[in-house]
Amino acid sequence: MVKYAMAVDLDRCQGCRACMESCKVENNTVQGNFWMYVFRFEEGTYPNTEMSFLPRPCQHCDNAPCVKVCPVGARYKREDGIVLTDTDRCIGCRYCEVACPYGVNYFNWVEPKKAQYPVVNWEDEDLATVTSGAVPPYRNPDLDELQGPEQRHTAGGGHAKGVMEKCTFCVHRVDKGLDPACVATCPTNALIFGDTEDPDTPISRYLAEKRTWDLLEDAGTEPRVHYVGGSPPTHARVEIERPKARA
Amino acid sequence: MLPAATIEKYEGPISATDQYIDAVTLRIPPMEPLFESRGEIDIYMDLCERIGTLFGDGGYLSVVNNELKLTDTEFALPLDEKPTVRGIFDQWARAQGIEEGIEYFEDPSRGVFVKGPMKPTKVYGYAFDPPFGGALHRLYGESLLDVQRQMIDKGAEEAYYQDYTPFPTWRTPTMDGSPDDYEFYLISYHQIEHKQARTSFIPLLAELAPGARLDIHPEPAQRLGISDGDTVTVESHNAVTGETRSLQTTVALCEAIRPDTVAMPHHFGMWTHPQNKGQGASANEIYFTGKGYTANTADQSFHVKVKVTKGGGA
Repeated sequence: MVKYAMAVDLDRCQGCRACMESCKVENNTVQGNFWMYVFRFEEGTYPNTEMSFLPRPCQHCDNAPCVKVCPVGARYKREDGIVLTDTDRCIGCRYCEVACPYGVNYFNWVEPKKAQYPVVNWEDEDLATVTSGAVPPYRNPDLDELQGPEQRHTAGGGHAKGVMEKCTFCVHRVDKGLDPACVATCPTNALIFGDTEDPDTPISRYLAEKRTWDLLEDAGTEPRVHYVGGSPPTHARVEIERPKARA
Repeated sequence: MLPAATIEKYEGPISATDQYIDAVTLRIPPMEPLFESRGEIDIYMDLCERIGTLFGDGGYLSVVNNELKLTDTEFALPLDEKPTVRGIFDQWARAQGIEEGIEYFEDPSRGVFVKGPMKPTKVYGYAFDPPFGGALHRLYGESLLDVQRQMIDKGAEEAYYQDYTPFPTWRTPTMDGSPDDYEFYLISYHQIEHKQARTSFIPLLAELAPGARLDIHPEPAQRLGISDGDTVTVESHNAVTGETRSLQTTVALCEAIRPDTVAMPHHFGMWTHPQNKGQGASANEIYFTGKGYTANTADQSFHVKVKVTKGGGA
């Protein structure tokens, strides 16, 4: 049985946030929602300061607290390890958001069509002067397909107001044998994705060779995202350069 | 016909030599041009066809033949038939001796066509007889010194000739002549999310890096009563003319910056697009050019001292 996992090599990550950008483009998420989020930390006092980076997708926990609290079974874990949200079933109670210790759940507070890039009003006459009226086709049709053996509506973001959405490991790509968009985009190969049940996959070999740690190991969530290099964040690290949504 | 595509177009031939090996490549479009944009060559051909200068001797196609060195070869483009852009570069590739034509460059495992070792005479002037074809050369620095002497002879002020030196020489930076209350050095920098000012109107990028800010160390900030997120006025001073310029922006406290230095990203403020209004000011607004700041060597156009005060100014 395939079991997917991700390795995040912090010694390779340069904090460019291309993964955040590719996630938004691939999944059509609502403005301000960052399913992949790269923390930029600053630590120490001048001149002995250090910057560090921490990419944080959904951890796709084997012991997922969000799945346990979902009252309607919208949040569920697939056999291959991916934790998903059935956006047709989600009632927007936000229990998962409270239960998750990683802060990976993003609620659609407004109608996504209105919230998506609201600075771009494609009917704006000013804008039409520079685009000749062209409207980019942002929506990926794969996101509207039913996914996996359960045939549930789980891929992509921006589906409806009042539902919770989060990283899907790009389930619509993974089911086609592709890597998640963040992994495919990372310019330093800091993100590695694949099947950990097969010992010959790149991620299995990587995890076997390297010393790894998990975020909030004490929480007992058993994440399927494993970190290599760097060190777990401490309170001595101050987050800097937050994107707009978290300012 | 417009607008022009950016990277999604054919472009070339592009030299890929490394001073030892002569090589050439083509930019193959990674995708179809976006929306209604098109490659320049398509645009030029349509334009020339419309105004009647595409075909025949002296027409656009004959110029393309000359530029790609196809004229009078079996690969020359016919002057009475409109080619495709891919077809033009296919003929050029065949003229280079590549049997499969443009397909060679479309194969990402190859991409670059290596012609062979460079001829010494192509690179080394000394390989000629007489060397450099008999032309007399002088060092760049000699020219600068010559210009400096001419300026002195003509009675120019030192501020104008001081930086025309044969070798880069240290002098006290012009900005250090500003009064002491202009206590900070201002530097501007490039954010990793943005390429240039024009990328700030892409909503997805602006979401990650949304606008201008002033990075300042917490110690001077505290002394000035400034907290993270405050609006401040940044005023620069021209040490030669006494002119001051100012802008308003918000503060981002930063432990890693030198306490005597403040910094601003340079992507914002110079908006040219309806969608990037309101992203804040550009650091370029308060730099100076001209006497003492712009120079042939040791240019100081981006060297200025500023003072920072809390609030939005007058």
